[in-house]
Amino acid sequence: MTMSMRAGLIGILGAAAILGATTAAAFAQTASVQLPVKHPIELAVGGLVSGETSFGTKTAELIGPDGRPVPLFQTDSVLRPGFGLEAHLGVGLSRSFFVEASGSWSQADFRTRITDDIEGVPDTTEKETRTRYAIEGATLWMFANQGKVRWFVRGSAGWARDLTGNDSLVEDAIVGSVGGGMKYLWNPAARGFRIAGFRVEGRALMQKRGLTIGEDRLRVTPAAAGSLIIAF
Amino acid sequence: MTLTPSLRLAGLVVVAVALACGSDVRAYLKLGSRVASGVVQTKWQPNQIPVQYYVTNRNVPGVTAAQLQATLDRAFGTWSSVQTAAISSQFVAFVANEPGDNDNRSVIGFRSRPDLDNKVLGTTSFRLDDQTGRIIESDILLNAAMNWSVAATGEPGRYDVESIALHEIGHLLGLGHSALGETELASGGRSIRGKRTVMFPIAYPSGNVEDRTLKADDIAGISDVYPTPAFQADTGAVSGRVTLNGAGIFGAHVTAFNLNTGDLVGGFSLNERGEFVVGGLAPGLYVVRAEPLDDVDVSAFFDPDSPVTINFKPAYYERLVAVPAGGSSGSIEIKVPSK
Repeated sequence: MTMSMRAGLIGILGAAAILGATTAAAFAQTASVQLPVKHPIELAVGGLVSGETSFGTKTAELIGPDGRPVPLFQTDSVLRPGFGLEAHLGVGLSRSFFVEASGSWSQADFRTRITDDIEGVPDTTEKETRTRYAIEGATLWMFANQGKVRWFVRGSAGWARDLTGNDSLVEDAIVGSVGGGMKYLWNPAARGFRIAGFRVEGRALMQKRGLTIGEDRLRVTPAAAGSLIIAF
Repeated sequence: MTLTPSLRLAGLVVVAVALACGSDVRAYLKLGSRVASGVVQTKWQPNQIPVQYYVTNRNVPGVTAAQLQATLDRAFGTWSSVQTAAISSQFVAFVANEPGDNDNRSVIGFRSRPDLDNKVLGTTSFRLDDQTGRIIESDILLNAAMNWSVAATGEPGRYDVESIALHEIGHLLGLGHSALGETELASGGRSIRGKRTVMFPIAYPSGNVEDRTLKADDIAGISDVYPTPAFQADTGAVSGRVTLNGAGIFGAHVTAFNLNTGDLVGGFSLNERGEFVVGGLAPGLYVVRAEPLDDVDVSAFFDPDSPVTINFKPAYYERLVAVPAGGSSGSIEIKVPSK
């Protein structure tokens, strides 16, 4: 892989600027990486950004004399893009398979726009912050290697606790994700780690139950994540 | 479409219409009376439950006494079926007594009352122990001057007994009126545009049977009066103040809208600090709105001398409100603009 290809790869995968700077320096130092054959242990710490989830509209309604609804006002709710921190502790079962335990903390705002008030109250937007703590188990399949780059797909499932309203409202959710990405690994032997690197990935986050708006159904939200890796 | 004025469900013959003057700011209007020790909530005591009632043995055109009793049984059953309220009832016998008689019996029946204006469908009255506020009897009068029906799907030109009885039984059990409705001026008074509670003081037009079904607001109200342990553990409340130019206002109607279920539950600010509590809410996120009590006569809700403020515009609380199970949102302040 040429340097220009590497730089392009980093750009496409959207790694954070600080990660890019670190790895660019590393390229010149290490020619190849010697991955452990059995049971390498990886610790990854990083951040994630989730996309917007729409919950659609709901109308506050009275019932008219003819049985038809009489709207009081209408709401349109979304969970705005959020951010969070996450950590993964993984172990390789083979050259191709990893299992990992993940924990994360994230925040995002519910935002509800209120319109069409029956008494003419001006349209307004209200919000409330949701904080989520999640624990998941995941499996990674490394399906292709290109030098220091290992491409993977990942699936996870777990449990999350959602808090809002000064942490007074607590709801538990079943969460999961599917996605894929790449790990870039090298041997910074001089720094005392056997392997170091980073990973970036895209995910489709799924949840059932939890703090939500509207009917309880499976909801899918896009997300991107990046982590720094050390391996032993 | 021509709207005809809806008929009013009459107010109550009880000393205080609402528990508005005590320290209790639970916002669903409950009936109360003033006794020597202060204001006492008007409700049936545990040893008076099941509530025993008698039915006047009188027919009116379209409805026999037996049909009335069967209909009342369904209406009482509707209230008793609320799983978060510990209330039940029992029919005792047909009697010659009239509703309104002082006979130590709770009597329900049709009766002519020329003094009632021709817009009153029914009234509920109480006789209370003036020392303790304990209910001695509570009667429901259905105005015999009206046209009534017990038809399964309603009957044009006739008022549905079950719907009106469900409302009046709500009073008999201790509920005041709810303001969860909108009206418009029409010839002869106000007509209803819509409502989301059986306990709104204005009924649907004749032929309508929508009020045979309790709404979330009614369920929250009856559960607040006769709460089960599950109600207290599983539901929460929005609490706070309604203020106008920084000062609390009495009698603002506060509505909580559940973004998950679409349920609406209403209540009032019940002191001059503007404090309110809207209880009986399923946990979740809510939109909270305050409005003046301008759709019906204030006297349908509060004592005439209550300092009800209506000189303000409706407004929403500025944030979504999180309601936890078994707890409260924490105090919020709804700032309403003046008219």
